[in-house]
Amino acid sequence: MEKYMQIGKYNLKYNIPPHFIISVLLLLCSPLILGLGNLNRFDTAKILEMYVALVGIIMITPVFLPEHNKDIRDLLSTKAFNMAVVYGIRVLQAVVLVMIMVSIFIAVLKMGNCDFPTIPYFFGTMAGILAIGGTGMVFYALTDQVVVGYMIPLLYYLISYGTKDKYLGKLYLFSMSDGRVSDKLYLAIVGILFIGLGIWIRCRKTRC
Amino acid sequence: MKDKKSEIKIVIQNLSKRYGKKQALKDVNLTIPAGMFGLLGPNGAGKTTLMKTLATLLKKNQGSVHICGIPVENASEIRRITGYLPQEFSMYPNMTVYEAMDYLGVLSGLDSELRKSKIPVLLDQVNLLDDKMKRVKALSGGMKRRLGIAQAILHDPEILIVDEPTAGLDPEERVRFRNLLCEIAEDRIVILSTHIVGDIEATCENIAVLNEGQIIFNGTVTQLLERADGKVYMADISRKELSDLKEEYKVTSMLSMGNNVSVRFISEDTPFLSASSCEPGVEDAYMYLMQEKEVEL
Amino acid sequence: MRFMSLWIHECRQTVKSLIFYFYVAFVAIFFLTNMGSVNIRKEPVPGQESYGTKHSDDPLKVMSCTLGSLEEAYYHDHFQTSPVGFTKHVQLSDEEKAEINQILEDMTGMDETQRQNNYEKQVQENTIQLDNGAYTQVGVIELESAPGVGYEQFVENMERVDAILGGGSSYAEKRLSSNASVDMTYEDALEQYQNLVEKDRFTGGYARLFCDYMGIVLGIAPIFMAVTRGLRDRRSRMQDVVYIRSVSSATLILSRYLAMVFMMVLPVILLSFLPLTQCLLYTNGAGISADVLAFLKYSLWILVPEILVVSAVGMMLTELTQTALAIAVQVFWWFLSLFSGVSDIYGGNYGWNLIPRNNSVLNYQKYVEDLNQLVTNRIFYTFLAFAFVILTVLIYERKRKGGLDIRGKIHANRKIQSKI
Repeated sequence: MEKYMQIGKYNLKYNIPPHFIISVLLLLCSPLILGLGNLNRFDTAKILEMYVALVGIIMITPVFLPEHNKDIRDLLSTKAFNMAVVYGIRVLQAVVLVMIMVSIFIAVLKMGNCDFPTIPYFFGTMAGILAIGGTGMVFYALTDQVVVGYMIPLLYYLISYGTKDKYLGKLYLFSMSDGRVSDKLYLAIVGILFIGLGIWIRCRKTRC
Repeated sequence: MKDKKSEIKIVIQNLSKRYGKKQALKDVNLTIPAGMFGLLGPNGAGKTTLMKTLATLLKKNQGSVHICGIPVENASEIRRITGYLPQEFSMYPNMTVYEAMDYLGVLSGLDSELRKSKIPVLLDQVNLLDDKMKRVKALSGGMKRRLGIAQAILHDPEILIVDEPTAGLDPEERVRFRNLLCEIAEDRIVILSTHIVGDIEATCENIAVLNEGQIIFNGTVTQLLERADGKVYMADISRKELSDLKEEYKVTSMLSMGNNVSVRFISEDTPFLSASSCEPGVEDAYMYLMQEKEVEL
Repeated sequence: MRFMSLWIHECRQTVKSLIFYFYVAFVAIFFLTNMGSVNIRKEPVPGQESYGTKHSDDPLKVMSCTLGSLEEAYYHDHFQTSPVGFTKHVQLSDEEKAEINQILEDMTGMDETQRQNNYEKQVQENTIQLDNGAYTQVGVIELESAPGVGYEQFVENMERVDAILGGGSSYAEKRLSSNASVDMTYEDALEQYQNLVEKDRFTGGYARLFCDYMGIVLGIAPIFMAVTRGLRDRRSRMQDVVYIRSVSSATLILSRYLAMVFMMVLPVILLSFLPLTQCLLYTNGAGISADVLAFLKYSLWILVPEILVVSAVGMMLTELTQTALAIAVQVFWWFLSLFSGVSDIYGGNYGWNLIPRNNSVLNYQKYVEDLNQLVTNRIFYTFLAFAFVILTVLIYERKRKGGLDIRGKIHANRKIQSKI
């Protein structure tokens, strides 16, 4: 247990801060460009799905970044420790931090007298975040390039923006803005699967 | 050509370099003539900093550096006559050996005719001609080093700066690499930094020893050996005595033989009866020098 | 000479890089899913049930609709703006509300109570009962301007309202006409179509639509190429061997930059052949004389400046920070551009938006009206791009000589870079 705590501590100290700062900056910028008060449920959903969800790409996608250098990766893979656990801890920490950020954001919206169902919207937002973050992880793991890891979730975002659910069906990212919160369940499942898949691919690639 | 050769030298005067609070080079004065020049020193002594400064990759804080009469501030002129092989050299992994050379050749301003004629010759010289279609990522450490040398002399520089070139090479590769450098050094300056004394011993006539940013020795290998003359002793002692001896003297090498150990160590004056004075090697002389430094501090 | 060889080297290297294919896929997938096959417009025929709507160009209509909407906001004390396409609720102070009340009174000649009664009456008249029993309001509230109020005076007052609301509201001058939506007549529709066929030579409208979609994706896609290229030297640990080459920083950076831009423009031009072919197949059969070069022309002058500036920003920030920070910055800029363009997606009001919208093949009129804006906009971004490139050259030159280690001097000079 102590080992896991230690891994988490190092991650919080060395890896998370830059991404966390950018995420916080992004959210802090929101009042400058978005309204956060007296919104109906559709406008609120739009903010959460289209703006706040971008935090998922910033926080979740780069979990493999500390081992970006191949030498470090080779070195670490010789250690008895299972890297999958390390990645798991990192994702978990990222997700917890994102949940805190989203909660605070939603609290601000509530205080601003926005009218929306709190719990469903919280989980709906998180589902979208997991889905784009997980997509990023899969492509990062596949190509070994963090840039591709950032790119593909944004393509996902763009296709959602441009064509709604025409091609994406239940995996359309902005379903809440169209009044369908229940579709978010699929996104959450896919997001969690993708995160697992990303870690699996990464571990397989390092071993061989 | 002869005239030109006499001009080939590097003059460093009062050079200082700081990284924030850390003083990496302190008032370095050095003249480097043509031929192989060895820069010796422990890790962290400032060797890479000095070499990068010569290669225009770092800005100095104080002092002056002239390479073949050109001040180092004139980076574009210096770059034309300088080749550099950094400690950690690599190339775009998906390029082939030939493409990598060709690309760096363009960056050095060689026209296409010259590149076409020169690259195969150089690759042959470093024994990579058969691998010219191999991708950089498929090269071994030794091959990468040799490619590194080839790229560094591609534009026929008068100065070649090589940082820790033998690190990570196997003994056979190391010897071959040293010989290659000697060949190249015939009509130019090759500055070679290392913390491995053996590299210097075999190749360089002139050396400088750098420690904690300061030059603590500058001269020929013979002069270095002379310094340690009469300070190196040899003795066969029992294992039990070893730790006591180590506490008192700087041991430069030892060889175990059963229960006994044959040790070489440094002493300013005759230590004990069973010890006999012996001819210092470069390794001993270097250790002596470093010890002297420690005593001073 | 050296420049050309470097340029060719860079292009060749781009073709071999993974990120280039992701870039092509990124752009192509967006194109195929969003535009895909072209929807060929046919000439409108008389007697259609609807020809769509358009913004009114009748000042009286614009005035009454705008004043109606302002009265509605004032009545409910519910003022909204959308500076970047997201609704923003604005809470006004009593003084500000009083000022708006005064403006409404000046413009309509009615005091607060009169206007209230008028508004409530209209709401009653406009409310209908749906089949399911629910009530809903149809149509818009209109409030006629007082006799003698000129359009210019009206615009001035609405600009003041917009300023009170903090900008980005539907009372801003450029958005006023969007408050008054009217049905198009057959003649209107016919005129639009004739513009497409005659003035735009058919392909022009489609080329603008193509640039509309491509503009969205090219507001972000080039950043990935620029960042990857910028990080590649360090990732391959060959910064030092490149730094020490005799090549000038300007030649090196410019050749990389122009090669990158060229390689990014190429797939865009190739993609434009798809809608072009579809257009030509139709126009040849229909006897319309089409402009074969329209897609090329529009792509070059509308899309290339965008690629230029986005990749220059990416190159500059990556050279400066040696991180992927440029992606975050560009996503933010792209987000702002995309969503603030939402109010004018059918063209016109181009302003300084990075992503000019022309989401209609029939918008020739609007396009021409604001063409000056668009030209200035694109020239500005081209200059901005080259300013960023010059900045990159300066940064690169400093770094080459051991300056500007913003990652920390010791850190950057550490022999083994263990944390990237």
